[in-house]
Amino acid sequence: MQTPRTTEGRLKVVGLILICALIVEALSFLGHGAFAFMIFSAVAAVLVSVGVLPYLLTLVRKDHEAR
Amino acid sequence: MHLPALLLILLIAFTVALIAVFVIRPQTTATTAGKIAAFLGFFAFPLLCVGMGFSSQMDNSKSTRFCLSCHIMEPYGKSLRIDDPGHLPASHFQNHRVPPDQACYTCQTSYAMFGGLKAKLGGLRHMYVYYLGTPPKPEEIKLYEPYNNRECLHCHVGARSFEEGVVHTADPAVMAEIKSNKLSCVSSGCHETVHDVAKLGEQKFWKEPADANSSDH
Repeated sequence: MQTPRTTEGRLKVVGLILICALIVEALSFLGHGAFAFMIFSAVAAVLVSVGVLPYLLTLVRKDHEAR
Repeated sequence: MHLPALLLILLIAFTVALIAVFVIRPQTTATTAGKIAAFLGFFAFPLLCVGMGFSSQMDNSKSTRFCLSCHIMEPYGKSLRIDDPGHLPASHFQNHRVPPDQACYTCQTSYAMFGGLKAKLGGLRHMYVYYLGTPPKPEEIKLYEPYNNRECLHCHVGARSFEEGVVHTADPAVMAEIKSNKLSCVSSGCHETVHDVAKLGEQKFWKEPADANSSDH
């Protein structure tokens, strides 16, 4: 898969990752055991981090490109 | 579903909808309002969702149901229903000396600085062993360190049944030794029968009335 080069393309990828993360987080609340906790911490929280960091990088890059 | 959990689900749904707008129409971020909304959708709200989710999960991890969700803990859950007041955890659970929905955590946490954090880290280690390691047999599970009287005294100190207990006051030295953790509450001859999971087959069990409101396990 090619890395999107435009800001809009990056935002789309970041958005899809965050949507997946939030859906997984919501699903983790259906369970009440240790497995649900593992899904939340190992999948949802990690995916949110993976989504948020590239978004911040996109902002920095955009600002850098604007200069 | 509890109100905080419902609010969290609503926040997640709103955040997903907001992000979906930017995924479908990324050009929305061109305006100032769009940039602010994108910042909320891509950064602030997801972090808020994770923060609230983490808090909710940590709260849930204190529940008896959570602890007993691992098969290895099932015998320990069963031991809470042994029909014998001599069994320490059973008598505490059945008489609500500990909150039934947080029975495990109430006794297994340590009431010292960072005790809750230490218990949570211990729990993470248990989950690692359970899912990725080689879990021991239930009857082979041991405490990391001897049970500290501090955990018992957190509730019992000052209570009349404890302070005026016949055995506790029989010798003035006994009470001092209990309070200084020199004489363990669970030592032989005292409250020694704790989670005797190896002999569960020999026990009679208490049947909780169907209308009891302690159903969180």
